[in-house]
Formats: sequence, structure tokens, C-alpha cells
Amino acid sequence: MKRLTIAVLILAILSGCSSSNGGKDSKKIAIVVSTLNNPWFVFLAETAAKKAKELGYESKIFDSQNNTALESDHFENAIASGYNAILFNPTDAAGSVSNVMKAKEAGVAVFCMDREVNSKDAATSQILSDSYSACIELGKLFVQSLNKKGKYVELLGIVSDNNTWNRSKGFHSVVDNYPDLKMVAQQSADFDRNKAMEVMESILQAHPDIDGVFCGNDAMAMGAYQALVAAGKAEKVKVMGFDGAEDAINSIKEGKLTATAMQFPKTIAELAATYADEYFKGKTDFPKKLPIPVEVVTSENIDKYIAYGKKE
Amino acid sequence: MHKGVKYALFTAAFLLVGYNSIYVKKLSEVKKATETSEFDALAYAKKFLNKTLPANKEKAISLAELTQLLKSNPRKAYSYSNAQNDGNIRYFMVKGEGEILKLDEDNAYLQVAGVAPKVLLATQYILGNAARDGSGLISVDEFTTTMEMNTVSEELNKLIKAEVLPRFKSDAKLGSKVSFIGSVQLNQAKAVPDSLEIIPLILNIVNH
Repeated sequence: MKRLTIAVLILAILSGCSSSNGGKDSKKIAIVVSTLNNPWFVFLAETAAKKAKELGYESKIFDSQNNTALESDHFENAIASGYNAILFNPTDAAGSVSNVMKAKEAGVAVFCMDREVNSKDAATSQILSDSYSACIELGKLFVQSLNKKGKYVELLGIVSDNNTWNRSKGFHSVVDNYPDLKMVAQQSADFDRNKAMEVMESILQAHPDIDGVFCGNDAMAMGAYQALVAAGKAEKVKVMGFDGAEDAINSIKEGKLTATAMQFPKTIAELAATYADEYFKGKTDFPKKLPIPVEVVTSENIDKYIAYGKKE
Repeated sequence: MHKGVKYALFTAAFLLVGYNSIYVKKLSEVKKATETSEFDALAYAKKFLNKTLPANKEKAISLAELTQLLKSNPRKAYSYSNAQNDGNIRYFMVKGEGEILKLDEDNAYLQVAGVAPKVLLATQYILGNAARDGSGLISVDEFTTTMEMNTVSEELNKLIKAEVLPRFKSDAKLGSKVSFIGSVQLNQAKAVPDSLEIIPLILNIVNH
């Protein structure tokens, strides 16, 4: 009986080994996202998980809560738990490089989604929204909406994220050419709706006569709009966001927000999962950085869009 | 332990932890730190505008040919376009020669043989990625971060304002003939606009 038990155990171990070396269902994909406290990132993570499942892989979502230390723990856990690829939305363009390098050294491929890390070689591929180009177009629209003059406020996202500055720089590359458009305040609200509302309330105390607000994402645009409503100024002030989140799309339909820029998280997430699948099948030649187009959404073309994308 | 000493110790510990937990930095400092210091966007832009582009100017499509193709065979027309992403906004490096019909503070208005839309040569607002992306010679894979590539766009636009336009503005008159190489932005999801704005890259007054 003892011999039989040992034989069964050996067989079980061997079959376990062959399964972890063999078919694609033995591969696991970790999805590490900067925060799940923003519906856009929830959509990104869930879409990536759904696509991974469709492709036959087990996956798990890790929430970094905008904390690089927690993100580092997630990477260590993912590597130790035998995940074979990480679909990654970083918290910090510079600070997250070491995590990606750690995974690379462990033989785990990393595919960045939406946000980049400051390295050409650390990640296998980086699929990024072309935020700068979109904000050039938003900047042109902002200039036109304010008729080339007025006072405005800019709410920035997380200051260690490249998207924050790509959006800000794209916008300013246009708006700064118009000397009668004056930025009276520029503050970070960390891409967070509640923070944006608080920051906007305090800015409005000092600058009650603003004409426009440019926000680095839709959550902040909604928070700023709420503050403007509370101050009785929502009708007069043009507010622009970025993302194409559900409440921003509804808000443009209702004539509240002036514009947003539609990113395509479904495209980004599905492409990242597909790249992981191709990587497992032996492909090694991926674009190092792949910019994904972003489209400006206003009341004029809102009918073509739904939350997080275009109508089918 | 005496209550006062306890409170003093707690306060000292609280202040110590608090002091080491909170950092106040200027936004401008953080912004500067995010821009990788080794990359010299201005030098890159100068080399591109003064060497790379002139050496590749034969890649520009004639504006007359482009406008005719946009009418007769848009797909072929857009095969001459470039962009960093595969969205609807595309850029073309174009060449041509035209006569100045009008000058104002924002544009020179040209008459170009064989081109139906109005042709505006931008002389004031040099915006966007047209100068960087029209030729298709700059690729995102060259850069460590997209910020670096985007800074090239800004530096190129500034250089055009500082180096290409002042000479043109001082020499250009109504009736002058201008030979140009420039970049045009078009949205392939929309009809061809009534006027085409050209971001100038290389300009010469030919009958000056």
C-alpha cells in the first residue's frame, strides 16, 4: 500500500510538472493597475482580465492604490507565485522601472498599458495613449471656446506620471501662444475627483472670475464641475477633461462639460493581453512603444461615442 | 513617568514622524525632474530641421498631386501620410511653389497652380506635431520616453518661428513667388477642408 501511495504521488507530481511546462492554460497573467479607485482603471483591468480569459489564461488583478511600495509588493508576489506575464499600468514613470526590471530578470514579460515607464528596454512593449497629441487638439478647442482670452485653471494629475505632463505640455504647446489667455492657478489633484473638488473650491476663493478649467482627467473635471456648481459658476466656466469616462460622456450630453478626450482602454487592454498570448507562443518582436490615438469628444460628435469608446 | 515628559516624548515622536513623512516640492521642480536630463531636444530639433530634412526633401509630395489624389483616390493620397499613431489625424510633407496673394499677421495666402483649396502658409501659430511627424522620419522608438519625443515637437515649432519665419517675413511681399516644403495636417475621417494650412519647414523667395 505504501509503495502504491508513493507511486501515485510521483505520478501526480510528474503530471503537475508537465502541465506547468506545457499547454497555454498553465500560463498565468497578473494585471497590476495603479488604482481601482477610478472607474477608467477598473474598466482597463477588467477588460484585460476578460481578454486573458478568452485567450485561455488564468489572471488576477492587483490594485497598487497609487502606491509604488505596494506595486513593488505586487510584483514580488506575482513573480513568486509563478505568473508568466504582467499587464501593467504603472504608478510612477521613473519609480516603476525597477519593478519592471525585477520581472524582466525573473523572465516575466511586462506589457505596459496606458502609462509608460521611463525606459526603452525594461518592458517587452508599452501600449500608450497618445495624450500629447490629443491635448494639442483640446488646447485648440479651449482657445476657440474662450475666444482667445480669459483666465483659466489647470488641474494636473499625479505629478510623477508622464501622462500628467504629456497632457499638460500638449495643452500648453497651443494655449501659451495666446497671451490674453492667463493661467491663474495650476495645481495637482492626483487624478482624483474629491481632491479636485477641494482644490477647485479653494482656487475659486482666490480667483472667482475664471473662464475655463483644463483637467488632466475626467474624474478631476467632474470634481471641478461640482465645485463650480456649488459656487454658482458652472454655466459660465468651460470645463474640459480627458479619458472618456462614463460620467464625463453623460455630462457632455447634458451640456455640462465642454469636452473630453476619448482614450480607448478596451483597445489598450485587449492588445496587451494579445501581446502576452503572442509572447507565450514565441513572438519576441514587439513595438517598444505603441501610441494609441485619442479623439476629442464634444457636444457636436458625442453621438458617435459611449463610455470608454466608440459606438459599434 | 511624569505626564509632562510622556506628552513631550509623544509630541517629539509625532513631529519627527510627521517631518519625515511630508515633503513639499515646487511643481516646476517635479516637472523638471520628470524630463530626462540627458536628452537634448533642442539639439535634436536643430539637426532634424537643418540636416535630416533637407537631405530627405525629395520625400515630400507635391501639393498639387496630393490635392488631386485626395479627390480621386483618397486611399492612395493617405498612403503618403505619416503619424505616430494609426488614428484619423495624419500629416503630409508637401512641396510646391506659389504666389503670395495676401499677407496678414497669421498667414501668407498662396496661389498654387493645380491646387483648388486655399493655401495658407502659417507665419504666426506654429502648433502641434505637423513639423515633427509630416516626414515620417522621426519614430517613437528612438526615445526613452514619449515626453522626449513631444519636447522635440515643441523645440521644432520654436525653431521654425525663430529661424525659418523671420527671414521669410522680412522678404515676402505681395506677388512674391515662394518655394516651400512644409507639413499639412488632415483628418481622414473628415472631408478635405476648404483651406489647407501649411506649417513651413523650408522656405525660399524665388524671385526676390
